[in-house]
Amino acid sequence: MATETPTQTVIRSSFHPDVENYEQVNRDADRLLTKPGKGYLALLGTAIGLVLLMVVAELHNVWFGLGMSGLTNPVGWGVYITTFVFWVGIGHAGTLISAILYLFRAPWRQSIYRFAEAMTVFAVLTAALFPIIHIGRPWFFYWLLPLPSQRHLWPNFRSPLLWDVFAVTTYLTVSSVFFYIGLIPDIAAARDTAVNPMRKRVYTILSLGWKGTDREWRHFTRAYMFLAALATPLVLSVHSVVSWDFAVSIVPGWHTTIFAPYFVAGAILSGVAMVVTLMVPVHRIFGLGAYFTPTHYDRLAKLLLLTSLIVGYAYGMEYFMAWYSGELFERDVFWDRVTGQYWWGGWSMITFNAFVPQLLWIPRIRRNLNAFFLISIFVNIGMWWERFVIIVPSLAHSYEPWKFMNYHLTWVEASILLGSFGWFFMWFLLFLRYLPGLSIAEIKEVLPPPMKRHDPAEHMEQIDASGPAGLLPTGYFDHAASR
Amino acid sequence: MADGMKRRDFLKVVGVSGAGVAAVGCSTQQVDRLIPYVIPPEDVVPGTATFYTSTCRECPAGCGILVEAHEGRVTKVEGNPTHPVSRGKTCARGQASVQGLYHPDRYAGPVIEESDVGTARNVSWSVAEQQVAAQLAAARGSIVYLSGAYTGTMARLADEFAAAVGARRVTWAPLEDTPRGLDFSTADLLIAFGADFLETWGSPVDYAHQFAQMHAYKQGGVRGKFVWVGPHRPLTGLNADLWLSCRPGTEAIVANALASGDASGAAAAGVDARKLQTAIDWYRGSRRAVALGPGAALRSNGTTALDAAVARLNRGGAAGPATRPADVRPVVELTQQMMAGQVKAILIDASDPVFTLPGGLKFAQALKKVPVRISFSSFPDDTARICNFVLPQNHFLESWDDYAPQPGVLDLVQPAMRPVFNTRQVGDALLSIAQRMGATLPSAGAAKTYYDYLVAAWAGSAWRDAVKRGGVFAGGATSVAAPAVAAAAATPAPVAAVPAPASGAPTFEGDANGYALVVYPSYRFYDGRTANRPWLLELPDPVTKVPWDMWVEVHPRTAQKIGIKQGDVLEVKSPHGSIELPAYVWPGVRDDAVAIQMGMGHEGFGRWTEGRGANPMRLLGGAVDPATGAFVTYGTKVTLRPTGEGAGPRFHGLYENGVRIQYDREVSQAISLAAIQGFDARGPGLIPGQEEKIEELKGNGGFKPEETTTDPAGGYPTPGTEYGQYVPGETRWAMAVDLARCIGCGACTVACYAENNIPVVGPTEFKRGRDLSWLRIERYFGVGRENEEAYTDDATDDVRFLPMPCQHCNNAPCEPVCPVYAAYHTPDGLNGQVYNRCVGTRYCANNCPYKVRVFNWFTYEFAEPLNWQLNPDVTVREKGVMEKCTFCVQRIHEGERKAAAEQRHVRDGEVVPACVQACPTEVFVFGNIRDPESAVARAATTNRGYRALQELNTQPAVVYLKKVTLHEPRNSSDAAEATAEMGGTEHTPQAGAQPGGH
Amino acid sequence: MSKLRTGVLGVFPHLDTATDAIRALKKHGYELTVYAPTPRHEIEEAMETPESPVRIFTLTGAFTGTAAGTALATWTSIDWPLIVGGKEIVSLPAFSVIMFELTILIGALSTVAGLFLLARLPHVGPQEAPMYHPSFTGGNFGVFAHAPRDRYDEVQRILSDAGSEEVLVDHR
Repeated sequence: MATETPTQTVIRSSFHPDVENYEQVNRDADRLLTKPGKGYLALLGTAIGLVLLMVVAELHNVWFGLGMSGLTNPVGWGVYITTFVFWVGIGHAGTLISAILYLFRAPWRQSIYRFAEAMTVFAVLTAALFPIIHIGRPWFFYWLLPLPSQRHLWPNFRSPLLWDVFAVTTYLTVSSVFFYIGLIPDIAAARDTAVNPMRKRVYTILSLGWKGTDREWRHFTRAYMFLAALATPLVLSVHSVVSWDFAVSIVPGWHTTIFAPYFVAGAILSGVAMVVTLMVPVHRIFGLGAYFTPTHYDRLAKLLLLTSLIVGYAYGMEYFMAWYSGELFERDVFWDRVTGQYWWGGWSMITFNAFVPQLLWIPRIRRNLNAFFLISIFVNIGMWWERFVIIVPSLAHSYEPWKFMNYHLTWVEASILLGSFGWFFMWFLLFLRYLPGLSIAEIKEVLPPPMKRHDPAEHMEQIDASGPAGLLPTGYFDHAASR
Repeated sequence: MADGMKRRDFLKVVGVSGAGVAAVGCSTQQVDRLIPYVIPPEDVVPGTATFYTSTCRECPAGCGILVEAHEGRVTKVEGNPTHPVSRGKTCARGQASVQGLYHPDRYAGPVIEESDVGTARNVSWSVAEQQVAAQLAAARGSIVYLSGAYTGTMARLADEFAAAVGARRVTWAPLEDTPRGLDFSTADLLIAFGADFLETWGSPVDYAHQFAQMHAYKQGGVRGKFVWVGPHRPLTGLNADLWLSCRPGTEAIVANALASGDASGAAAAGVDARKLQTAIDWYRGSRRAVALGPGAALRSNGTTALDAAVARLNRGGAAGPATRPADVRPVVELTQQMMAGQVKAILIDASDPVFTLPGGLKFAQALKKVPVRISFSSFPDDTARICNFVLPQNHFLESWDDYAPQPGVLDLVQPAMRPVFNTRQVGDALLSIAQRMGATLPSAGAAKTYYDYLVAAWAGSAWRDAVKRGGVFAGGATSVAAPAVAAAAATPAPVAAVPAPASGAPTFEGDANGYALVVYPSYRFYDGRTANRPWLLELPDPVTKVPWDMWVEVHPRTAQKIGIKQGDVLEVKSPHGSIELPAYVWPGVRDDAVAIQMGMGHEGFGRWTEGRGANPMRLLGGAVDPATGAFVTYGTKVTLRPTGEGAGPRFHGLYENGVRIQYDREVSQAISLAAIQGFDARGPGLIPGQEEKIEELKGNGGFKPEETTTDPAGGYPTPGTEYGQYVPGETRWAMAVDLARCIGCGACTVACYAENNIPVVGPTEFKRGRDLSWLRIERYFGVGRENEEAYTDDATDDVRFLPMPCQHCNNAPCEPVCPVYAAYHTPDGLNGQVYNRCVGTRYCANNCPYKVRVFNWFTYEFAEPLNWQLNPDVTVREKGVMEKCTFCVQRIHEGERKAAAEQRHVRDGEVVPACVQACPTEVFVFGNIRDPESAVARAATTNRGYRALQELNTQPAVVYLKKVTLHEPRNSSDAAEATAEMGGTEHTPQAGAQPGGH
Repeated sequence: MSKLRTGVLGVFPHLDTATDAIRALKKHGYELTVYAPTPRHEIEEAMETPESPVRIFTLTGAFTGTAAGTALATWTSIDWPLIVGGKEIVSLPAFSVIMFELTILIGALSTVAGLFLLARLPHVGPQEAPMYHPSFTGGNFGVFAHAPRDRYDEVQRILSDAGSEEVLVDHR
């Protein structure tokens, strides 16, 4: 059927001035799903190669024992736990954008949240590998689950590691569900435009027969909001729990009350950085300028700046407390962090996380994709080092002087670290290719609805994209919420 | 079943012995055919250990031991409590003797090497003995029988054999000629001239015990003093209160200065005048002063003066008759004759002469010139490797023998199992060879085996009794007449204290500007004979804390001078040869001397020893002291040349375990004698130096340690946790560790390895910090923060040893963090670790402030047949499992079962963990702290008690008793630590050397 | 009440015309099924639908989760009491984490269950969405009036008056 263009001048969303109408969103979303280029296949191949490398390395761990890693008696945790915390952290930005900003009604979230959320799911999926990889007898990892056994022995619910199990599995489940629910209408859209019969069948199944009827939308929107409301405290809790893996122990350098907020802020910092790291290439490759506008990057930059400041504060506070408490053990550990064997790790963490992001105060830099991309890479590296620096030197210099001993990474650990990135990007690339990367339905929410008679602008709140009003509610939701 | 036959034979033998022993061993060939106990021998209850009395022959001390065997396999060696020498204790070497028994590289049977083709082949005993007999018959007249120091029946057999086959007997027994049976337990001042009586000198276990008696702090405040004279400090020297480090060769001057009370000689001897003065004052004030030495490391070519001076120093009763070192001139002559080709055949049952004789003698070269070379060694040691007949002998745990270590003691050596390999003990071989040669031994009579010969020799005397008791001890409760033959052969023969033919002052050969070479015996390897025991290699050297390696000790100034740092390889060159060893830089050796330990650098001797380290004997010339006829070990100067080879890549090169200073952690504390006397005068229950700390902690909200911080009984179970079986029980296992008694030898550590099936990880893994020791001995030279502390000249004056087992905390940080309850607290207060539950998160180890939890990074190998030693009462752990000290829970349960069977409570002292059992100085007290009368309760509540890192409020069950020093000790770099109220402290150089200490 | 299967569909490229049609049809008391590519409040207003009861599921789910968490942690600890680190057998501060996580988990899952139940997902067969057209996930709105055949004309009139681009009749 012909869709006539309105007679009068077309009103554009201040967020997506280049998007003409609803159909364009579908077209652009479909473009992501069409035949991939050589570059894509090369990337995917690399990712899968790294995954294989990880498998080989892990087989060494299982067959010969954890001795294949560089871990030693005082330093029982190393790269594995570091990487675990790193990936869990990455996940947080996704949920922040998809759930928290949703509750805040930030309209600039709509076009990027699908990527962010996918990132969350895959990051947590990656993190979930490590608790199993790092234990001495991985074949018994299920003993950490509360399963009834003939031994009548249940797991110890006082152990932070068990909290981890619950937090991470819950987080994985909820964020996956949230991700999928959000996808349903868009899969339906993809279904309706798909030409390849195979895809059509799969999408038909995945879309659960979504038709976009008033009944569906009515319950969908409420359910979505409640999921967001549940995911919000969850995301804050998950990294708090992870931080308690350390804070609950008595190891100097770990035993700190600041850890929960410190870790959450760090998580969001690293997560946002990763979002940018992913967005920029996707933006470039698929030419999504209409959806990833300077406004979006601007907002992300501000978020990065904020969390970076919090993290910087936490660093300062840690060192202040170490000095102010006069606690011998604490002081030695923190001194060792910046002067010990891994002094460069300590300094790269401080520089990359607390100082480098300050460049984003300058609008020119924050709106320059390349610069922003570069900064995001720095933050990613810095955040990995943060976890490493927290874990290793603390263990290498805890109470007992006789067991001051350091840790050196082995090829097995290095391979598994690389492999984790391969694993993550493998899933992410597959996602790009097979599921709508743009949230078709939700982007339409911030577009002016097609109107015949009166000015569509009346039906969509005027949003000054540049100003703080960017966080003001958009059309549908505040109305619904005000019910 | 052939096996069955053998078993019956064995039981017959055992039956005769009347010791009620019965065991079924099995040799490697038969292990797969063995059907154990289809009908169990009546004396053996499967699952229950059988103990055999015997005697440890790892060194000449002759400690009485109890050999624990499970189902016919020896699993552990422990001291025989009724034995006068061992008093139920052992040293590390004794504990490791079972690894000599099960060593995978022992000869599996006789080996003959055809001289023409030069290929070795395994043969049967009959063939081997037949050929040897033939060869000896041919060489009659120019045969030499080179043996160790035989005593008792074996000596007689050897003599008779030599006479019968026309052989000459020569004895080479390195280090075995030091006086045993001395008594200095009541002395109040010990002065040792290089006599390492805690390690190898004389009778280490006996002497360590006596040392603890005279030197440790006792309630009431008496405590003997100990002065060490010598160019460097081995373990014994490190335990001294004062080190008079005199210029090499001037020991006599020091001795005379002490005797005369005239310190003017200090300069000549290069001794710190104040230290010498202190020593003189101590000597003046002493009731009974005992002088020991010179030790084997100080045998110069002018010992006469020193001998005399030392003898003169004894006051208020010498420790025992003066002895003279063995005269080794026969060995030198023998070597020359061999070199000259005058020896046709040689039988060697001595301690690896090729390895232990001075390189200058060129014994190996000489030996090659002997056409028929017969070795009785069980191992392919450096000598056996170049012999063409090897008749491997039994391990002493497989042999019958008697042995007279010292006057008044006649030990009996009894087999605890059938030979592991196809070996025979020397006695049997000799008898059989003699018989094949048609020679008759006068007293052999009908004796076909050495056992018969032995029993015959003991005829009339109380054999049964001796077997039960492990020997015949004069003055023992039931002293019985020793067989004439043995009583006669008590060695070493005491000599009158008359000065020997005079010799001049000691002189040193080699580069005059060089460093005096000190070659000292090894606590772990003796002269090298125990150097292939994995446990001893894994046990870090008590002084340097270097495992699996050998080093040359150089003074920091020396190191600076030649521009090297620790681990750099040095070429040590003497006129007689040169060796390369990594440097160990520490102030425990003079700056004009270097010290090298004996025992490493074998060319053979098994997989773990081959080519490891270097043999310092190569540097010695083999000169003989004209006065005593002893080898001169202390008369060579060497030059040092850095080879440029550094410590090498990571996890290679010299590795020193642990750290040298405490970084203010105060884990190992000390208190001055004056101070503790002051506190004891004011009654018990004070915790010196802790009061203000407790107040301070009370300040911090929510964190308040118990009032009585040394009472582990308190606070368990913690309020709120009483539940089910956890209601406050009657038992709370705890341990007290007296640092004033600990000499740091590490016998406890090895005993722990033996008892708990702890695998040996090897050098590389050890360097990664993955050693699995459950009980480590920490050694600190300094207490503060600055590493330099450990390198000052006085750094070794207040050395702290700290045994660190699992502390079994009430509030154990390791427990709540385990997600699977693998770590939990037992109702009787143990910190349990359930291997089967463990998934290996390692969180417990991270959270353990004492770092006593060790992780199985791999599934470790117990090379066949070393696995025969495994204790069946203890699980063998697999990879991925955390483990740690259990207070020997298997022994606790055994005690509880026994008590339950007899319907009584476990008696105090009934349960004895392996470390407690082994410790020769009785450092550990173990028991139920809930019983206020128990020894541990009494020990734990004394004024010296403290708990490691107690500010963490982990409330350990292990209470340490502070070391007691004569000077004012520092416990951290914080000067205020030395509490003012402490009474008049003796002036000592240490205190003077540490201005911060006051 | 079960809606009629038969009826007439109007396709609207514009939101305002669609809402007009909805209002008009509701005035005549027709039951409607409205298709939209994106949720618009204008439609909900026109349809005057009550608040979705999904929240009930969320609430009950969350509370069930809390209870489950408490029960699990407490009971398993008492089932075989083992003291660790001198802590209480029932250490509520530690268990609170478990309670919280299960609250979220079960809360979320039951919300989804509620959604599927109420929105009748996944659906099979056309009866839920008669005369569905693929463009409804693109740019078009659709209004389907459930009506008996005899009233088709009226419905068609209303739809085209409202400005429907295209009016389709169900000829089953």
